[in-house]
Amino acid sequence: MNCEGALELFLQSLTGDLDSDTRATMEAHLAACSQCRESSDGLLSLWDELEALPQETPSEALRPRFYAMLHDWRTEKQSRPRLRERLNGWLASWWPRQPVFQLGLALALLAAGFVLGPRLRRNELAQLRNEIQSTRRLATISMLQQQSPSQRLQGVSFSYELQEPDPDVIQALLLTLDADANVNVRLAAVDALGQFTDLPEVRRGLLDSFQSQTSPLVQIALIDVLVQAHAPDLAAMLQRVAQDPKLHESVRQRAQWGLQRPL
Amino acid sequence: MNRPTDDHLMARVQDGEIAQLGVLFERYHVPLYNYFVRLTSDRVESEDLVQEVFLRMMKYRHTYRAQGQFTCWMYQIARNARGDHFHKWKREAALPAEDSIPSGQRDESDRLEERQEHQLLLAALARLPDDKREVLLLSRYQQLKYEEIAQLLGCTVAAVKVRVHRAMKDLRAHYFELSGGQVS
Repeated sequence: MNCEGALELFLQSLTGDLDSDTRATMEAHLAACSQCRESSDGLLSLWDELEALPQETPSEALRPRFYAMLHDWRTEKQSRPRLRERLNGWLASWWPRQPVFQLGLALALLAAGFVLGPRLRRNELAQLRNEIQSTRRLATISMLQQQSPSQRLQGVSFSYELQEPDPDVIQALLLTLDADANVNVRLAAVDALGQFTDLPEVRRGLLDSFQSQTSPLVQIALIDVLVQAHAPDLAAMLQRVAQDPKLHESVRQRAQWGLQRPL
Repeated sequence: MNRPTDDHLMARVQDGEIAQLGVLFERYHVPLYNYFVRLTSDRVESEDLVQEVFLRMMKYRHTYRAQGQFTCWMYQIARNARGDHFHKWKREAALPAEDSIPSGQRDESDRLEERQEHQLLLAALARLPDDKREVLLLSRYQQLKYEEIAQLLGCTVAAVKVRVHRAMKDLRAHYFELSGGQVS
């Protein structure tokens, strides 16, 4: 046995981990090697000294501080209902102490989360989506009635946010198209209504609106949308427009162009 | 009359007899204080930590399970409390300040040599890294069982013992260096 090995064994003997044979071998080495004996004596003396280190005394302030805290705690407790305390105790008594059961419980909760989570989330999402839809609808209708043309334009653009066509919003857009004083707002309304041309009432509304339009720009926009939507009765209307001398020439040309398109 | 056990006292604290915590305070505040002082070399901070440990004992008394392991639970709280305060501390393993010589021995000139030895040992301890110093303090100074320390540190008893061996080896090296000797 070399000196390093003997010292390792001596350290192990301090924590009571040597069997009698190994201990005898180590002691034989120590008896023969003065250097190791010195080292082990040093270690043993440190080992004993650690146990005998004098205790430090805390300041005199520590005790009164603790009892003041205890007093405060008790006063506070007495004035407060003990329901929470009892609930805490009850919950703590249910919580498993063994880490393996804690893990089991955590996994069970995780599994429950996976099963129930999507269901709850679907419901919540659907509800949230409805609320957003409803808010957008109200915002659109309300903006369309504003004094300022830019706000009315904003109202028209809000309608794009609606995922499903809403009768009230369509009504408001058609009204805007018919009656709004601002050409830009009316043009925007044509574009916005263009996304709902699948609905017969929208196509009808767009067709009827042509009569009340005075701006060639809006008239051309209406022709474009209706041609794209393949609106029924469009051919007859385009014939009339193409031959109406009161209308702007560019509108008549656009009607001619529409007539050549597959309707 | 028999001295009530820690478990018995804790059970009464859990039942709402908060005053019984005072008995536990009288039993353990000095060892706890010493645990902190030896680890941190800071008396003021150590007193704050003792107070914090007893406050947490009150707060979390329902988490205690009476299995005769009160000291283990207490040192677990102590370690957590210290960990939470750690970022505030600018602890440096240096020679303990004059202030950390036990106050009760300052005027006893006839025990000068013993005092010097203790001071040297404290200085050597202070040079150890935190984990080694802690394991020595818990096993020798606070006299916790290796099983309790293993539970506290979340490792096996064998691992605790290996840590003790290594810590002793390092402690001896620092001790001899500080005393001007050579390590063989």
